Amino acid sequence: MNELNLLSNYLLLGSLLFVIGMVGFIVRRNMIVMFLCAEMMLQGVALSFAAWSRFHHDWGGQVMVIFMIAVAACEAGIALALILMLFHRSDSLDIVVWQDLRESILPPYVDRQIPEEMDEDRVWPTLTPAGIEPDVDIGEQTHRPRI
Amino acid sequence: MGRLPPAILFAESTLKNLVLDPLVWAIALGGIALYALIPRSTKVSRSIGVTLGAISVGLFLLCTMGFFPTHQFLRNLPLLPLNGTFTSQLVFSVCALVTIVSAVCTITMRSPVYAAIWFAVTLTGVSGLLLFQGAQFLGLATIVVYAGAIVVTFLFVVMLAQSDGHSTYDRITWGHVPRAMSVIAAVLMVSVLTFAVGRESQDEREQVAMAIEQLNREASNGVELTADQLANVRVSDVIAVDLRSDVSDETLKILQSQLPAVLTQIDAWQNKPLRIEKLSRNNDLLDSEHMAHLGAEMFGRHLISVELAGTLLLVALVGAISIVIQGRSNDQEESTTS
Repeated sequence: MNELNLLSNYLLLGSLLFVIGMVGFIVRRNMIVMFLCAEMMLQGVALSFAAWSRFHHDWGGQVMVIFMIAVAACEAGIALALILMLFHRSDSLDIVVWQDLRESILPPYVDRQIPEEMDEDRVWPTLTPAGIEPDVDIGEQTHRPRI
Repeated sequence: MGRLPPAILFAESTLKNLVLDPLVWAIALGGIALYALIPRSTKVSRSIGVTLGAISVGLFLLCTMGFFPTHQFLRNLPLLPLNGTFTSQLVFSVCALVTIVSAVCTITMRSPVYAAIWFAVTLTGVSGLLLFQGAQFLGLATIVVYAGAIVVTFLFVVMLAQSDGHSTYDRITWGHVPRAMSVIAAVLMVSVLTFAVGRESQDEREQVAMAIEQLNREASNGVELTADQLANVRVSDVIAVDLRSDVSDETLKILQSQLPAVLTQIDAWQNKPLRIEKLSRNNDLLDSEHMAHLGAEMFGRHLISVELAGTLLLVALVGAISIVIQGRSNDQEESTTS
């Protein structure tokens, strides 16, 4: 019967998740990662709602979390459509490309230093090979170089 | 030596408490670790951030397990002693650790693919925490909707938009100042929230539960009195103690006759009338018919909200499609006119 401890634990965890998401949203420049961070903030709030729901023995908090999941799904759909459109226009996911939207009195943001790619970052997820290796058409590869 | 003004003395004692408190150091170190882990323009190895983060998490755990008995900041926040056994504490700690570590990884990974995958790990952690709390439907819905649908959609977009390797804007941020400011804001927010939570005094329900357990120790009438039988305690002009609906009538009678004598010993409750009743229907969130109750609540009290949410989903669907079609046709017009 230590409901208060449970509540404070969950509130603390929820605030940590929210804050980490907030830092990511402010700091990162990739639009997709920014939206992931927004979703993470929503998760933090959802944890707090569920904790209060348990504490007060009331279903309202849990129902609220269900609505939050619905709204988050809507938000993700529209945001991804927007991101795809923005990507088609500028060919980049960088949010700096859209800094024309800033106040006219503010100076433009320019990168001072762009770092080299480190070897440790050049690692991609790999899939275990399975089945027979297909014949690769050289002509098709040169025709569609991105694949 | 002249006497110092009280304001300075107060500031001195507060500062002393803050500096001596290991939890303050844990939160501050966590902030520094976060700052060191965020992608930056200069080549700094990540081991510093990882080490600091590990120290911070360790300090936090030591604080919560009561290793530093004198710390002031979180006087009333015993984090780990939850209700239950060592196993339940372990499950909670592991879920919390997975959630926080993978959340930090999400915002520090250079590659957006890895960020999305780490976010899926965060979601499994959150789902575990929700399950631990008894919110079964939410735990499963988090996995199905978030990890199954939203994260996969994110991964699709990453693959569509960034198919040719890493990009420069993933390795840099907005510069030192916004990074430091955001981390400082985060640290302050967590500190204030922990301080506010830690100041909570003993729960009313806990007091009643302790009273019930005291009765159980003293009485020898053959009826088991446990704190689990307590559903809710509300204190206003009247102190209302609700018992679970499956409590036997015998237990209810014993509690109604004996509990007031114990509860009136609490100073703040002395002059208030006490009402001990049994709930007609179990509103308990830990009930075995969890899903049925949640559904009844949702489609009963919140029916209009459910309809609105459905409409919102439809509008979002139409909106997303129209955004894409509209943007396509605009692009084509621009390319034909230019």
